[in-house]
Formats: sequence, C-alpha cells, structure tokens
Amino acid sequence: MPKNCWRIDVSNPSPYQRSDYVQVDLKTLGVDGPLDEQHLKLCRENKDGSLTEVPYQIDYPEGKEAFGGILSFRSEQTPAGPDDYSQIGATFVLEEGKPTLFHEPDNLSVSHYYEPAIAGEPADGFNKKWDKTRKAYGVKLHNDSFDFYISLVPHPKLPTEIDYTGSVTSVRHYGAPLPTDATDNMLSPFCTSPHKRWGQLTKLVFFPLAWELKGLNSVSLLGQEYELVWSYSGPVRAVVGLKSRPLTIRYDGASFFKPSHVDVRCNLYRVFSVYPKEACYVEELFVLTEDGISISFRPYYLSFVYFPEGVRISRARFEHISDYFAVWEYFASLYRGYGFAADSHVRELETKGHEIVWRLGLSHHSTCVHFFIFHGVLHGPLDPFHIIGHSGWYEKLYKPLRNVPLQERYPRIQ
Amino acid sequence: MVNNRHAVTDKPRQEQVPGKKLYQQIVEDELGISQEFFKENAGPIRSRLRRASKVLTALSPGPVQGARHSRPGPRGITLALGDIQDVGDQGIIDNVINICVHVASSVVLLESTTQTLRRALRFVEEAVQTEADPSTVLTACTLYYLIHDAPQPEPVPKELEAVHRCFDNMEWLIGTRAMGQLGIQGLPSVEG
Repeated sequence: MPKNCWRIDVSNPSPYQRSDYVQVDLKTLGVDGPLDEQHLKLCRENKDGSLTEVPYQIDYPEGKEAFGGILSFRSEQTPAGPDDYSQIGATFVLEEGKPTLFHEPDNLSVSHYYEPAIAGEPADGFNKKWDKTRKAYGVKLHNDSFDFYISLVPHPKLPTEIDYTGSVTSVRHYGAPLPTDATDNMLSPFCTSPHKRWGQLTKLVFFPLAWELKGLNSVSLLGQEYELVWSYSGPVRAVVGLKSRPLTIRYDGASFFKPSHVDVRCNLYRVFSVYPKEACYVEELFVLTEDGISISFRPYYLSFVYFPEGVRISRARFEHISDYFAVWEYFASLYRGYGFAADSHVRELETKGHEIVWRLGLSHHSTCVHFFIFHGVLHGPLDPFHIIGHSGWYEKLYKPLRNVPLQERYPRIQ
Repeated sequence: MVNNRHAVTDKPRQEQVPGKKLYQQIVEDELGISQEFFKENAGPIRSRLRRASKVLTALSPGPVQGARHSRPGPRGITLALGDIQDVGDQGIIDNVINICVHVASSVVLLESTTQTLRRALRFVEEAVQTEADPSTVLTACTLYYLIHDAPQPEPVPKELEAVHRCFDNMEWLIGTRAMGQLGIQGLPSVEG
C-alpha cells in the first residue's frame, strides 16, 4: 500500500445484505494535516482486487479543522455478518490523489436565512450559499422526501413570546397532503399553530462531582442563539453544525482539589444530517470545552404537534426497549407518525395535550434519529413500530454499518 | 373557515331524518356543518378536488373506471385504479386520494365542534354497518357531500367525475353495504 493510503474495513452486523452509510473519524483513522476532498480519493476494493472510485464527503461539524473531519460514504450491497462486527464485509481504500469530482446531487441541499438580507436576496435573507461571516437565523435542509427548517434564534422575525430557539419549526413531507393555509403538513397538518415545533432542546443537565452536596447542574438552552459553524451539502448528505453560546458549569472540588471552585466553559454542538430518500434527520449531540474535551450530559427535548380535537393519538413504545418511540396521530385512514430513536435510553416520555417531552440518558455523545412518517389510505396495514424501530433505531443507531476496528469520536481516548 | 354551528345535544339521533339521505343527515345534522360554510368555502374546496380530478384524468387514457390493475386495499377492499402506467403513476394516484381524504377530513375536524364530532362518531357506530373506522365513514360522507351537495344539490360536475369514479372503485373506503345504507351511489359505468 502506498504511503498516504488508509484502509477502511466495513462490517455489516445484520443477517442480511445492506446498502447504507458509513461514517469514519479521519483523525482516528490516522488521516491528519491539510488533506481534504480535493486531495483524497476513495475507492472500493472489488473481489478481484481492482478498485472502483466511490463518492464521499468530508465534514467538519464542529467548525474546527483541528477536531478532525468526518468522512462519510455509502457502502453498497455489504454482505451479511455476525452482529458483533467481527467480520469484514467490504473494504475501501482512501488515498492521496486527485478524485473524480462528484457533483452535489439535486435531491440534497441546505438553505440559509441571513439577517440582515443583502441586495439580491428576498426580505427573509434566503440564500443557498453559506457565508461564515454573516449571521444566519435559520437553516433549511431537504432531500427528495421532505424538508425542514431549524430556527437558530428564539424569535425568528416574529413578534412572539414563544421561544423557538434550536427547534424545527416546519416540516414538509412530500408524500403528505399540504394544507392550503399552512407552511408545513406534519407539525400542524390541518391548520397552523404558532406553538408548533419539533425537537427543541430546552435544557441540559450535568452531573456534579461525586462528593458535591447538591443536585444536578441544570443549564437552560432557551432564550439563547445558536451559531452556524458548519454547512455543507455534498454527494452523500446535507449537514449543518450548530454551536450554542458558551455554557458555564460550576464544580466544587473541595476538599480534594485546589482551587476548589472551577467554572468549566463549554458549548453544546448539534449536528443535523439528512441523507437521500427518507423523511428523517439524524442529530448528534455533544458538549465540548474550547480545547475539545467532551463533557457528559443529559438533554431534554420538547415538541409541540398541533391537531384539532377529534384526531386520535396513540403511542408506540416498548418499555423494555426504551431507545425509541413513535407518536401516531390519525383520522380517517390517514396516519401521521413522529418517531424518535436514540443510542441511549429515552426517559420521562410524556404526551401532555399537544406537547411531547422526553429526555435522554447521560452520555458524552448522543446520536438521535427524528422520523416523520405519513401513512396514506392505500399504504396497507400500519405497523406502528417498524420504521422507527427498524430503519430508525436498529439500522441507524444500534447496528449501523461501521468501520472496524470500532472507534469512537467522543470521548476521545488520549 | 366560518363556524356557524347548529344547536346540539349529546344524544345521538337514532332515526333517519325524512327527505334526507343518511350521508346528508350525518354532514348537516350530526356533524352540524352549516350551509354558510359550504356557500363560502365550496369554491376553494372544489378547486382542490378539480385539480385532483384533472390529475386522475391525465393519468388515465379512458374514463377512470378500469380494472386492469387492482390490489387489496385497507380492510380487504379491492382497489381498481384505472389504467395505471407504472409505479410513478401509482404514487401520484396515492397522493391524489390522500389529498381528497385530507380535504374532507379537514372539513369534518375544523367545522364540527367536539360535541358534534363525538355525537356523529357515535351515530355512525350505531347506524352504519361497516368494518371501517367511524372517522373514515364521516370523511367519506363529507367528500361525497362536497361533490354532490355543496353548495347545493346538483349533478356531479364533469370535472369531478374522475375523483368520484376513483372512490367508487375503492367503495368509498367503507364497503358497498355501508354505501347503500348511507345513500352513497357509484356513477353509472361508461362503456369505453
């Protein structure tokens, strides 16, 4: 193998052949320095040893190249293997060299909304191009199945007291009917409601030191703005990286450490990714100090889905597999499902009227899948668990295709 | 949308109102959707249904009545959707059907009150023999009403025929027995 060449072995832990996406932390792979998409080529090794170039992209979701990039690509027809990732299903080779240019597919994109708008932009500051130097107050991601808008500010150009910060305020599912008087057809499909939003993080909770005589450190995320630190729509996925304002956690180390009081300043990072075809987005959550040390936390979610009275609600959840749930709302053979899955346990799930709240367990790095499902009249019998349980949780979180040996980006083992 | 609701009681009516078909009674008396609502909103609603009908007509070279492709639908109802060209056409037809159901269910949900909706659901449970969900029955009645009666009784406009035939082929999602009880009639077949 030439000097600047890295082997990526992909394992499929499922008892069936799979075509799915793989993410590889370039730093853990040993790729360092100024190598980027212009200087790296990814190929799949064929059975006869020949190489076939495949599309890939590199993202820097924390917005800092120092933290290393994430390589993502699709591994087609990856042979089945044991569920402990002990068998290699496909091998890829990343090497220094000029890649064939892969164009951004038409069905993935990120749009930005800037304030103030400049000449040539509509009043809302809409622009497909990401300009790091300008302040974005919202982003919209889309694939061929749906689009959704994330508010980066509490009150996006609206004279309202409702705090929308860090929430998805509009979801348009291309397979579902669009009401005439609404901008989305999933969060308020019959008539619009100012409260509608999905996946808002209201607070983070940090654990105190073991000997501290106090409760949990709770930090509210409401009322603050997020900074857009990464935005890219490549051949594999559309990704945005959001960074919260600095959060301060106070630890009291007395009587073991001096000085006893330490204020740790850190930021919450939220990385939203959309891949082709499915009406879902993947969200990664992690908290990093300025020099990249990860801190464990518990995130709290809030959603508000508006339906008129008369629409029935049911919840699909297994208490013994508490990593995913779906809330279904239905009337007259039309079902709308709101699915959530995570790689840690979902706790304190409650549906209170139109509100759905839940939290995740303590983790350094949480990956979540948010699914929007429309089940129409002719779609056959409804399985309330399958999409969120199988496509959402099992394939994307519990047993995704992974490169072996297995690696974790956060917490990084020094 | 206008809300001019009838005075209501919780007690479901058990008998049919003379001079009205059951689907009309359900829409006007049980759900309590006012004539003012239909007068003011029939235009925009019908325009959505007309667009749906146009799409169905464009997909079918002949009248939408064929049975070349059929497949089991919800609750075992066989769907015959006309001259479907490919999977893309099927997706479009699915969408059109969903749009029509959504339009009618929006009228049911937004123009009834909690009380009238509950009453209508109970009425349907007691009076209509079908395996379909009562909310589907209410929606089928309302869609039929929107095509036939709103804002006033009239023959089915030519431009809504395709939607009508499409739902005829699906037995209006409720089955022929319930259609008969409710007074929902299929259009006469057209020799192609």
